Amino acid sequence: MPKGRYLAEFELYVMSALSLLGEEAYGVTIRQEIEKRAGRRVAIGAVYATLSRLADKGYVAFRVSDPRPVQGGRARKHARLTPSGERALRASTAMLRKMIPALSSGDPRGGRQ
Amino acid sequence: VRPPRLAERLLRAATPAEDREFLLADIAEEFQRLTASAGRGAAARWYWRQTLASLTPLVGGRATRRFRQVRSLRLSSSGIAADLMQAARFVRRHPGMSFAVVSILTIAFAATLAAYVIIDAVLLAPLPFPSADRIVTVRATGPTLSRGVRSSSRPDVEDWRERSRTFTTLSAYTPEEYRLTNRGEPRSVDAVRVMAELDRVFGLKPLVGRLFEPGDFTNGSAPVAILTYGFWVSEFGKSPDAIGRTLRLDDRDYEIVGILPDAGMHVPPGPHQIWVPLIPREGAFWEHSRGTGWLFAVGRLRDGVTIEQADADLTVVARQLAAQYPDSNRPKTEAELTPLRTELVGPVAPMLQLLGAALATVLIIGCANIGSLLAASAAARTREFAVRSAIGAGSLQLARQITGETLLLCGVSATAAAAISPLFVRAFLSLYPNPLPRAVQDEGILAAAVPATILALAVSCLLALPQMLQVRRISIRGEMSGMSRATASRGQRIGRAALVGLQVALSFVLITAGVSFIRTVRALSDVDNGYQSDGVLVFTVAPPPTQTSADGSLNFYEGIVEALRGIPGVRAAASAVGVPMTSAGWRFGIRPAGASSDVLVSVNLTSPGYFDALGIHLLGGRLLTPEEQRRGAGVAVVNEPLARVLGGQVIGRKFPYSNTTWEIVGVIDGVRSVRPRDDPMPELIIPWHMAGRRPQAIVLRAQVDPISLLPEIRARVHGVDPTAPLNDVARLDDRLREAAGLDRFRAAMLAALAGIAVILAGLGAYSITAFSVARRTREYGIRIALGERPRSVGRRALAAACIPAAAGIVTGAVASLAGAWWIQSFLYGVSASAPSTLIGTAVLLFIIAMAAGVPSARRAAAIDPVLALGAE
Repeated sequence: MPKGRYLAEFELYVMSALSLLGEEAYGVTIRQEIEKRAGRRVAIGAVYATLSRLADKGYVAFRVSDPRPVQGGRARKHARLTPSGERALRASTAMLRKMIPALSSGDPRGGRQ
Repeated sequence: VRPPRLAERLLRAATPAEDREFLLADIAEEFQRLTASAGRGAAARWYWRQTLASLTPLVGGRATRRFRQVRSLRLSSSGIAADLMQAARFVRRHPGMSFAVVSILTIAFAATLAAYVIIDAVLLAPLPFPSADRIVTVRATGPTLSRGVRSSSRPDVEDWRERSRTFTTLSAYTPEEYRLTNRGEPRSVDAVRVMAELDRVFGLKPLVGRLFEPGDFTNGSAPVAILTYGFWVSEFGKSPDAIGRTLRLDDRDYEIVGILPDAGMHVPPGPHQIWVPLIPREGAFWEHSRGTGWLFAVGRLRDGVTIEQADADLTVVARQLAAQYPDSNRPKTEAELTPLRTELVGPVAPMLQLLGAALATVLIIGCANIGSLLAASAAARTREFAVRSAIGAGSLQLARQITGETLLLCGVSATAAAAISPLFVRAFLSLYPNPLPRAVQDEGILAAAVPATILALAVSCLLALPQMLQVRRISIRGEMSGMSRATASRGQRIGRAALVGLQVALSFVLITAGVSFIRTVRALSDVDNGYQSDGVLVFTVAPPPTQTSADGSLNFYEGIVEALRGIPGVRAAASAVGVPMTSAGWRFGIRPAGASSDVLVSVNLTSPGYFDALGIHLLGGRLLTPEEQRRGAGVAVVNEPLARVLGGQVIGRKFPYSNTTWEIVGVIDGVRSVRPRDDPMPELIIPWHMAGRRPQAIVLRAQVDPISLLPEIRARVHGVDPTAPLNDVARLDDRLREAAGLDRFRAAMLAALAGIAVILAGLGAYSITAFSVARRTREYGIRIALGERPRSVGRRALAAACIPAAAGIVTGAVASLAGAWWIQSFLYGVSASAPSTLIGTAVLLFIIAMAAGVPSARRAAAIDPVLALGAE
């Protein structure tokens, strides 16, 4: 992978969440998914900021849903991984998997890039 | 339940616009859920935590993103290359317009650069001396003395140097003409006689040889001379052998001891070729006396001393001298110091500022013209821009494209302008009628490189702006579907009209200034100078150096005048110390009754027949008789201005001057002797024999062109003195023409620039109507279809040119009136705010604007509704 294409830790979380959530991914679900799985507090602003950065890199695309036909129904900004985003996610997780056995006593979440 | 208001507001402010509503709705959704499950307090706390934790990533993310955008815009060189390619494609597709833009800009840039180079070299660049700002000219003055008298005497300067504490050194000089007889044909050379330490004042080092030493200034020392660089080059071809050679000046041999460096200007100021030491001469009483003022004094201030301090210091010295030598120094109670630079460039500064202002005006007109041209072209290209936006070009990309195009056009123009600006500089220098105080070095294209770059960048920014406004809000959908509004927005229309109005207004200012200058030239040529200049030849000639007595000198001039009268075709000949436009006598101040300061009076001494030869009228009384001219005492003639100063009826009155009481026997007409625009100066005419050895000028009136008699004249003068050089030979008419040269130059310059301005403004008015008609074809089609008469549609179209022109005319008139005080200082016999000038200019410009709009208005009136509507 060329320099600059590595994923930062939080970017990896967000992309994993997108991968898990599929069609259901938007601000609320992404935030809750990461909180639930990683067990740490996640700020909604961090999610949005990371999504825009990933969109600039071409890993994420947005789709604005039509307002749902219920009381208070609103438009949501759904995010999904682009094909190149999926490739980047696969490459990053593969690399982590290769690195983690070497860090026997290290942080199981892997090092920062 | 509402989330905490302040937190919400913070979050709203921190979030980028495109995410704002989504983010707030997302967090609100969770907040509602949490309120229901955990209670309001817990939900609010959660909301606040979320908000505070979000601020850093949101603000940081926005900042990084903006930084990346800007960096990609500025730093990607491949992007700039792509922009330039894009711009080049634009130029290829619009060759006519690009050519017009580049030619107008090139000429405007070149003229501006030339003005910059000249103004920089003459006015702005520091003088070529070490710490040049410390050099000042010094005048002794006093409340009762008139300005403009050469006020320093030699003993005064020496005392100033001794007693003042604020000067490193102080010195003085006086110009003097010498007869050079050992280098080919005898001729006159201009020299300056300098007091000791003049070189130290200017900080000069000899280029070759040495400068003067204290021993050179003692009476009886061997005469030495220093050559200026220019004279060394022209006379000795830069040969170092010049040192040790001799120059025979006024029949004395001067050894050349040194060469001055090339400073690009005369040091000290005033044309000369040689420096000689100033040693007071026998028989020249004023060179010894303290009371006379005949030297130009200059000094160098000590470091850290201000002009005011030096002024106060010298004033103390002047007061001491006034107390010590009351006979000679009583009126000289003050010192007046002027920075050398002010003294030098002060006289030409207004003219060069006028040049700069006029050219800057033309540049602005040119830019406004091209600005509206490019804005129109951008408007015509909205569809192209819409396509670009539709396929993903953001506003930054469009801005880059526009900037690239204008930068390319301006860059090409500026390069061409830098290349041709030296031509403009040379043209200006060859047309400029007067000598400039400093040389403008021909540094070619390099001198203009930096200003050209700045100019290109500044102008391209200016030009890009209106285009960017034009494309700022393009409705992609409207343009792509062909449904766009056919007319421009109100803001765009006003912007374009303002550009045309600006051109008209500035043209108005240039035209009124030009007309005022032309009327000044006319007024000056109509002025009555008080003498008849036609057929008159003037020249100066000095008595031979061997002729040391006053009588011998008079015999010399009488001999020449007699010899000249014998030439066939010569009607009259005479000589005088002060001849109009040629030479001047000395001056003194008198105090009219009841006045608080002196009036300067010039003294003239003339051979018999002088007033007849020049056609100067006798107004009352009589002239001095030939007998009085040769031997008379106590009789004098005054001119009309002096008679007025003395209070009218003067014949028979007694007049004290120079320890003598003069009886006034006649009044002659006043003569404008220095500049035709100055009123005649008071003049006192005393018997000729008192001229002593002063050099005189000859006037000769002929029935034929006097220049054709020149060989004969020369022969007759050489019959009297074989080595006498004839200097400053000219027709008096030519002298007068030269005197008005600067006025004619100004008039021609402004007329040419006003002409260019009018053409540009006319083009501007033409293009705005053409453009408006093109954009509103459909509207006019509908109007005609609905029954509006073609004539009325034509008038509507014409208004596009006439309304901005009218506004421009009003603005221009106001600007002309506001600047009138400045223009007035260049004028003679005409007011800068003369109603006839203003009204004439207004009518002319309005007619031009109308005429420029007519072709398009005709087209508008002839629109066929069917075709116009079908064209869409």
